[in-house]
Amino acid sequence: MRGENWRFWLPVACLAVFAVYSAQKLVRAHVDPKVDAPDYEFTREILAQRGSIFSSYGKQYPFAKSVPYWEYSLDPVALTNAVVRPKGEKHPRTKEAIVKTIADALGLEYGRVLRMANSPPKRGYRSQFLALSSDPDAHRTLADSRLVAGVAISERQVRQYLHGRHLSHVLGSVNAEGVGSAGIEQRFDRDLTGTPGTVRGLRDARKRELYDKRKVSIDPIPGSDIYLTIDHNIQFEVEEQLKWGVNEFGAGSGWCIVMDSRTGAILAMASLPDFEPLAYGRVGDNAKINRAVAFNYEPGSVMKTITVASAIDAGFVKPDSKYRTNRDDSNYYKLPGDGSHVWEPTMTVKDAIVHSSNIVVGKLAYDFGPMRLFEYMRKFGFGEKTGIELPGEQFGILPDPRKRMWDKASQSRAGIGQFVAVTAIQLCSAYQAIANDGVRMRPYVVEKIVASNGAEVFRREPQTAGRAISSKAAHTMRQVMLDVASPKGTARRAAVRGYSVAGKTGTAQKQIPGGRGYYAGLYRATFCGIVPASDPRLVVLVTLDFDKKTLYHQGGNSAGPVFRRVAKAALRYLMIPPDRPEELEEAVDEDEYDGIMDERSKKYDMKLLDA
Amino acid sequence: MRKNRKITKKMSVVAANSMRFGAIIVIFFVMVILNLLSSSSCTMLLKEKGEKERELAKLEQTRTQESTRWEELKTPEKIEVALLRHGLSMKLPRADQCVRMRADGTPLYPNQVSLRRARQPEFGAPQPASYRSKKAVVSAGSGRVAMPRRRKVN
Repeated sequence: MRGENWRFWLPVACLAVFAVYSAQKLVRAHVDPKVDAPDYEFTREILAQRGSIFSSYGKQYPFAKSVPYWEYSLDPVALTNAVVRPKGEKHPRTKEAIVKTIADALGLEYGRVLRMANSPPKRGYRSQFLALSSDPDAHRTLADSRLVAGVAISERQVRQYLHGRHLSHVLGSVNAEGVGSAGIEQRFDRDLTGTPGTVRGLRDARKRELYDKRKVSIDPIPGSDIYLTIDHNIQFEVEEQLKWGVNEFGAGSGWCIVMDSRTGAILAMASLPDFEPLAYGRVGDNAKINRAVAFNYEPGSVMKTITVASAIDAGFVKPDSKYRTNRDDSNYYKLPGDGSHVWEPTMTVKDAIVHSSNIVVGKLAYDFGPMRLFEYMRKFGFGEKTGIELPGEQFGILPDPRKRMWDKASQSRAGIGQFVAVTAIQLCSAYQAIANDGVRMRPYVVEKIVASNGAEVFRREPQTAGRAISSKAAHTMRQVMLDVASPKGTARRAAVRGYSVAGKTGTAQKQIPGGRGYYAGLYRATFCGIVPASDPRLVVLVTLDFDKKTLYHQGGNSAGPVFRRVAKAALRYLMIPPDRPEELEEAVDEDEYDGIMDERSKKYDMKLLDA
Repeated sequence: MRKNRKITKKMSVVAANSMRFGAIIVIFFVMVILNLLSSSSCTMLLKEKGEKERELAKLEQTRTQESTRWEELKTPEKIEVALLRHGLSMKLPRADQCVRMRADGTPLYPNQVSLRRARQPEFGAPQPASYRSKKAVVSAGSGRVAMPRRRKVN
């Protein structure tokens, strides 16, 4: 019996040995990390889609989004050395035939690809960029090693800016590596960039993945989407009108901001010259500056509003307080003249704003005192960043009188917009405080950030940045500014039919770098207005920067008409009802009206200049 | 008798071992076949999965590109260009083309088209009986009630 048992135990032992061997193989393959990876094992990173940037209208209206593309490069050496033999054919394909296949697949010119294939290899790098394509058929053809050789394929996410140059300064750009290099793209790069996925597995001799041998498969997590407060329709109108203004009046550059006066949300922001975001690397430094936030300049007479508002709030003056308009007092140190206005011996503070009197407001600022003026300017947000979510924001220049004494000239000139430097967004924010009954809101451009799974990562609620002046003073100031955009004010061309406008012009001399005075005849023309003045909804700031002498360098002549066009379009688009409906009774073609008014105003201004 | 019983016992041990061996062999082969079947089925499914994955990626790519193209067409600049190409121009209405009224339907300005005026029987041209039930259209600016045109029947 014992002799018979081996017949049973032998096969059992064989099976046991086989089982142990299999188990050992399994353990080596799956558990032991030291096992050598075979040549056909691969690890591939799956790119995560970069998040999109949307308009305030939501997902239907993106400003920027990433689209998957394949990037093809040609390696002439690999193409020459490779032997490509299609299945069932005896002879390998010729170089010309391969080039023809590549050119046809990518829609390129055959001669061009052939020249690339025949070019000698360059030192340091051999591959030459062929094309970017999203065509899956082209990918299938060029990935087949039986048809072509020497073509390197890499997957890429190509950023597309659907509105072209519009909003380029706010959106910014991404570089070749997909990293944000300006604007929102840079500031929120971490949110926009997703987490790449991984695939690890085996592939066959033709480098095709064996799906049943896939070991690791981690899906990528797309980046978060950013929703801006920018309205794409208002933005378009702003850019078009600003472009019109720059061309019409011969300005070198210009910028414009439209802000919601109740929340501080930026509805549009444009800066010229602009740039093509896809060609950011080749753009000059001048075009890259977002002048709305990253450029300090002396504001000029638009600052008078702040000076007078501060003085009214402090109870120092009233709108009907009178000042002498003579310039003989040595305390005021050569205030700039008052242009071609016809002056009375005395002038009220209200008239000083309406006619933009340097002398009256300069005297007022001097008498008000540097410390009080400085404190009010800080309350209005000057000399510090507003906190808008855009990179490169400047502080402005507002010297502290406690640290650096303001001389007599500075004391009076700070009140009329010299000696201090501001950014456009600070100025807009200060006017927003006047529009919002004295409460300054923190300007913002990002409304919310939504993760790829739909969860809201961040939502920006309107935030107050403090009270600048009292509600009563703000209301009084708006009343004072009402006549600026009237036939007797400095900005008659800024009037919007049917709406009351509370604004102020500014014609600032351009300073010579290094504090060596001002250029003769070069100005920055600004108009900042609140519409409708009776129930403020929008604050619009327009500045045109002149590089050469022109007749239309004054804020009311050049920035005013741009303001009117922008404000008119935005008010109608937002369906804000007119507060002066009686002006609309007269049936006038609006476009024609604009033209007529422009021509009338031009004639009027010409007469003034001639006089 | 005793001898026979002994022989019977021996035969039964061999038969029993053979039965066990046979059963193990059968089970082993059945398992091998099942393994082969399931493995091939898995391979087929994974290949199919791979193809579907590729197809999905392709469709996803096409969808992204098409949606991008559509979104680009909807930009204000493209709409403006398209309108100009077709000789169309959009203008905001003149003030007299706008109907502004209070909540009770009275006109905001005198001599302006309003809902109340349009409803008054003495307002506008006399209405033919056949048209009375049809919806009247207030022509903007003119202050008259225009009747819808009859369709021509060929």
